[in-house]
Amino acid sequence: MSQDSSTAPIERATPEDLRERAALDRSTKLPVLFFLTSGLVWLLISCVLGLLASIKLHTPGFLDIGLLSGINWGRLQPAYFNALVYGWCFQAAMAVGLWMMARLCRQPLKNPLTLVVAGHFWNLGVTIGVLQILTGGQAPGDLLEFGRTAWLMLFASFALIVVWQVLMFASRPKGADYVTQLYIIGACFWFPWLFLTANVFTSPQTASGLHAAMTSAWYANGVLFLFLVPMAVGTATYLIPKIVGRPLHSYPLAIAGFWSLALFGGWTGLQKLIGGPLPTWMPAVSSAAQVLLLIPVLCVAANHFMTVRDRHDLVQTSPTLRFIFAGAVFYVISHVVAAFLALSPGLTQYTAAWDGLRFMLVYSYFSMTMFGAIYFILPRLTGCEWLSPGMIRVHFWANIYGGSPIGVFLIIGGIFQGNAMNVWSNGFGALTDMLHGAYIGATLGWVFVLAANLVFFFHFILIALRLGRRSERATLLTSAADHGPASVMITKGAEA
Amino acid sequence: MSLKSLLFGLLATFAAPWLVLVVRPYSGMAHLAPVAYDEEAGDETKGFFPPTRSADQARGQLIYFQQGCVQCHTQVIRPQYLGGDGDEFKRNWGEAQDALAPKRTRQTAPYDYLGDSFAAIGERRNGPDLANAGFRFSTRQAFLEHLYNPQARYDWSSCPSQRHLFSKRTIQGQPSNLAIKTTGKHAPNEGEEIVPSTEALDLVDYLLALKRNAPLPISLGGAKPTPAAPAAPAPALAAPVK
Ligand code: HEC
Repeated sequence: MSQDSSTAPIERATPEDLRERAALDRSTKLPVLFFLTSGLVWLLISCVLGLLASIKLHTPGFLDIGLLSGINWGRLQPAYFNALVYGWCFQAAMAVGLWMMARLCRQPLKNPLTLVVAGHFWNLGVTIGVLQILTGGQAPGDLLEFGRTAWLMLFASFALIVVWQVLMFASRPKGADYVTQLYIIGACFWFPWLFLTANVFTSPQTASGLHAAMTSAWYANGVLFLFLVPMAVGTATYLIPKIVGRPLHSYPLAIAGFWSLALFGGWTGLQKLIGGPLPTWMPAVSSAAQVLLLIPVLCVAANHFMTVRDRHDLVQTSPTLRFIFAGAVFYVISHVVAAFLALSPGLTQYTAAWDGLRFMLVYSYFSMTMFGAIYFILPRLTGCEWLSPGMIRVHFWANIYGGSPIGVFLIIGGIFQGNAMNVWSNGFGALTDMLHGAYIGATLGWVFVLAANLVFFFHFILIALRLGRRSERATLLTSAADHGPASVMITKGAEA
Repeated sequence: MSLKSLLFGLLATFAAPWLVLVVRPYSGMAHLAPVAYDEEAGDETKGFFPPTRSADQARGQLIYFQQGCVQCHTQVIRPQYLGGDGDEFKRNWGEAQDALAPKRTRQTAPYDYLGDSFAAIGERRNGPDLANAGFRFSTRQAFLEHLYNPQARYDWSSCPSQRHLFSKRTIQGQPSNLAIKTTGKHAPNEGEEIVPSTEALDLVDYLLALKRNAPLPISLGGAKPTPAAPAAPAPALAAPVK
């Protein structure tokens, strides 16, 4: 990899470059806006479902009336989490991934309409799946609760996305190489493989019960650590140098981060079943791999931190960097927690701590990173700027004060839960009482998260409808007096 | 990096865990078949291990998944070294409690899920483990009543009511012998009765059969039974500790 390849996304833009980027953005605009808009609708839906699920944990009688009585926690929990992961996270990842890939490969997106059609199928699949869960037809398996019909649609549309990404990558000009492409191609490689494996080995015709449960544990961990994590890392690695206005601190370190993820990621997942009736070495290997996943985290986090170095003041001003920075904090924390849970099955297995971890990973890390990316991308697609720094600030702080505690409450609550469950004289009433506080805290958090995302959605729609500010200058969070070199990068200049 | 070498690298790193953790174990697990107890080797039990599941029970398991019971209940007894010091067993989760069987305690074995299309190991323990729930509720009616109104036993119970699997109807002629007794907000009015749907009955068939205490045949490494210790009287159902 040549030296200049590492600087590919941040080289000082000439007018031709800007024109080229504008053309690339025009080509991706339609599918990217489609995936982002429908993804955000799913985000709102999953926030409502998540809030309801959270309420049911401390007040099971809530909405236990008439026809709604069947929609209890056993349905709401998977409905919320699947809607969040497949409805919002995947669509955000596809949108941001397509946009970055076109930019990095300098390939305009061909036939964008096909991808919009694929997107409709994706949404149809998620809708069918979520409705099935809510009406009492969930399928067994972690993150596999959608039924067969839904999977078929999801797979067909994801396959199209993969083909488009690979085609762009394969036809990129010489030298247009950057580590983010590896993350995107990696995620597009791992997910279909995980997905097909899970579906083949859990389909009633072939499945053997214990093996199916094992495969689903492996799959669910894979979706998080081999799809969502690489997409978010790739996004941050693309955007941070752009905003700070300097190349990545170390390109080899970035490559090492990618390949260590590839090396260890596939081995994780079975730690969930420690103590179950499978050969002991299998969960043990997964636990070890989950701990080893701290290596890529170290590579990536150190690299990003060193890239920003003395410009951490930009976290104050740039909305994108602020969200990505907050995400990065949870990137590290959630991987440490994942390693801890893998090592403490006697304490934390089958407790709320696992839900806390997944929330942290999917929301506090992945989603925050994607919000950051949307703040960057949307003005470039629509040609107008975010209207209100105030709304951005509300979106940020409500997520920090509301969203982050949800994960923390559930993790700490789960540790107490596990500890108490290990004393046999504690009945489940005592356990329920003990978690009451944590669950109420989580509900409060959900209220904030829902409010934050409503504000964000409103803001997003205004910009998507091109009702934003017409300006050369990006919307920043503090007064625009002095932004150093960064403002050069954030300013769209001739791009508009 | 060229697409080819990238794909090669991904293939090499990912195929290994895929083969080792997923594909290879499949061949071992898919071919498990029920094992006959062998009296000559010293087995005291007759028939096959594990007991097979009826069609009703299999449908019941499907409903158990569909209704999301699996989100709150596990069905796996972990070894003693996990979960306190054998506290899972002290909770009666791993124990046989009927007066007939001598008290046997064991952790879950791969054979316990034989014949299931998906092992209901479960996601979390918001509620008690159900691997041996069949011992704790001995009658169909008791299970049905729990499903209809879990708060009748413990008012703090967060086990959700499955009222949608029952119907309330006016009694015509003889009351149904399946009608359940219940009190509280959703109790039947005068002249009405509450009857379970076939789904509820299948689900209960499945729950009643959750008794994973059949001794491991000696050929599978089960322990030889100790010579006739008189069967201890069955412990009373664990007192409703809160
Ligand atoms: C929200 C989580 C939750 C869901 C979903 C749930 N349960 Fe429960 N369940 C509990 C809790 C908590 C208890 C303990 C309190 C009690 O015994 O009522 C419990 C207790 C039980 C018990 C009694 C166990 C014992 O040892 O005393 C049975 C049987 C049971 N549930 C069956 C079911 C079935 C069948 C379903 C699906 C239709 C289901 N549960 C869904 C939380 C849940």
